[in-house]
Amino acid sequence: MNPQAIPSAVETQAAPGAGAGTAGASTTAESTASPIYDWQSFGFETRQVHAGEYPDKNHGLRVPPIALSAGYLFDDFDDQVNRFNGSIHWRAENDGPRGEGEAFSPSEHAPIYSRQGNPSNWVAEERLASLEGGTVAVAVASGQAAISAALFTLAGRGDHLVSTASIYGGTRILFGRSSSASASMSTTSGTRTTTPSGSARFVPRPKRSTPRRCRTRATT
Amino acid sequence: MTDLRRIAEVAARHNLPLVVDNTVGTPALIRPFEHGANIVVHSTTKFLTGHGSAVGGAIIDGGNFDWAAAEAAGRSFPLITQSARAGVAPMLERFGTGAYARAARESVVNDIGPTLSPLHGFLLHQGIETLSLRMERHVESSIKIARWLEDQPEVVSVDYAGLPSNARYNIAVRDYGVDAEGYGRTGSVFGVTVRGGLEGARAFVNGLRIFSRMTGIGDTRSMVLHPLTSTHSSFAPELNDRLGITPGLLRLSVGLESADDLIRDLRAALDRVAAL
Repeated sequence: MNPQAIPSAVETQAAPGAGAGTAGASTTAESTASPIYDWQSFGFETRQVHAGEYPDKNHGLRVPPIALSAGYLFDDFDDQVNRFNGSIHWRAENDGPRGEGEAFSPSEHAPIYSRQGNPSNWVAEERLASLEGGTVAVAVASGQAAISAALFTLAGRGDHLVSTASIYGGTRILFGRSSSASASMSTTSGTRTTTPSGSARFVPRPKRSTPRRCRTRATT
Repeated sequence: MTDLRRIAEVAARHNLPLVVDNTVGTPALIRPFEHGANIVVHSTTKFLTGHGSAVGGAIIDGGNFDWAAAEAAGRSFPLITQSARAGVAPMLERFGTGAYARAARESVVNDIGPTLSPLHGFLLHQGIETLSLRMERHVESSIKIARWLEDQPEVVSVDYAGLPSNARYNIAVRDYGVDAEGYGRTGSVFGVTVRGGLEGARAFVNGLRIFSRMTGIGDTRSMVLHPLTSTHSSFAPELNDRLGITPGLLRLSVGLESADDLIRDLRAALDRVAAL
């Protein structure tokens, strides 16, 4: 049952001041204004409520359901092949979660397993990307997981991280203990200073380290 | 209070991506991409979920770092710019401005597996629905409480960047804006140092009844924590000195309770400090 198919005489006129998001709104008495899938032109408060939502095609649930499923059905043999080789974003062009013919978000992809992606998390990811003004977000299990995954995507064995000194305690522990022990990355933390000309310069704090383990210690 | 723009200048000059943790700010108060960040991370456990109910995290791609140009200048980001295996194009080619996020998801999150439970994902996207409302109240109460604390005789100092007395007030105001009376809207997590060092801190913490004694920030509930013996307990004394983590320092996270009730709670706790 598609809740949008029920015509309503009240919803035939676009709200004033709604901006570009009303493209597709109808003003005739017979048809219902088309649903909004792209919320980017709307204000912060509107996007915090709506960005990332998708219509439930089964029961018309207004609130996205909690997607408690570890796995996903594949349509057929080729569907499985295509999902694993990364050649498709969704099962079929007209069958995405946003309805017929609608483009899917960069967060969405034909799901394989909830470890990498899950519809409940996609809602949160899109909402966050929209509010921060970014392109795509990835939800993970904790802030520590976010920091470590963010950094391990950028750096690895032998690489060097540079950080401000005033960071969350958990971040500092990650830099000092975990990354040096498991990934052999070294870190330098310090404070910025401004040269007389006004440009910014990073001033690293000197650190004492044994050759294989790097721990930052203040020396001044 | 970090001068993001200065740091972004340095990072850009060295062709390095800048990662910023926006847990305490939240996009309702500040959006690091607007100040030169390339990647933003969050502990979604805090203000985003907002109700202290679900641990989680997030990585957000700003889509604004030129990975190819950085490599041409000598940096190396193989997970983003190199092909993972024969026949599959690199992330950068397939996903453009979302390439970093895709690399994080498929290469790191997939392999190491720090998965967010869909239950927590739901609580997160539902919590975000009221983010700006909650942050507005968190900030309003925090400014009121920080101003009040500065006037209390048992308080040595208040570290709230939005107060004109703070060394970073100008940066705070530039980046976070001000309320109607000119106080910077710098969030709701801040430090207060009470007289009496460790014993003063102990008396203060034990005298609170509305503030919850616990780790955590960014909840509807107000919280208090003693950093020196908790979050910073494993750090060298010299480091804690340098960071200003002293025996009398408490971290407050102001919640959504009535500000007047919170002030009464703090006053009762300060009475115990005065009695030492």
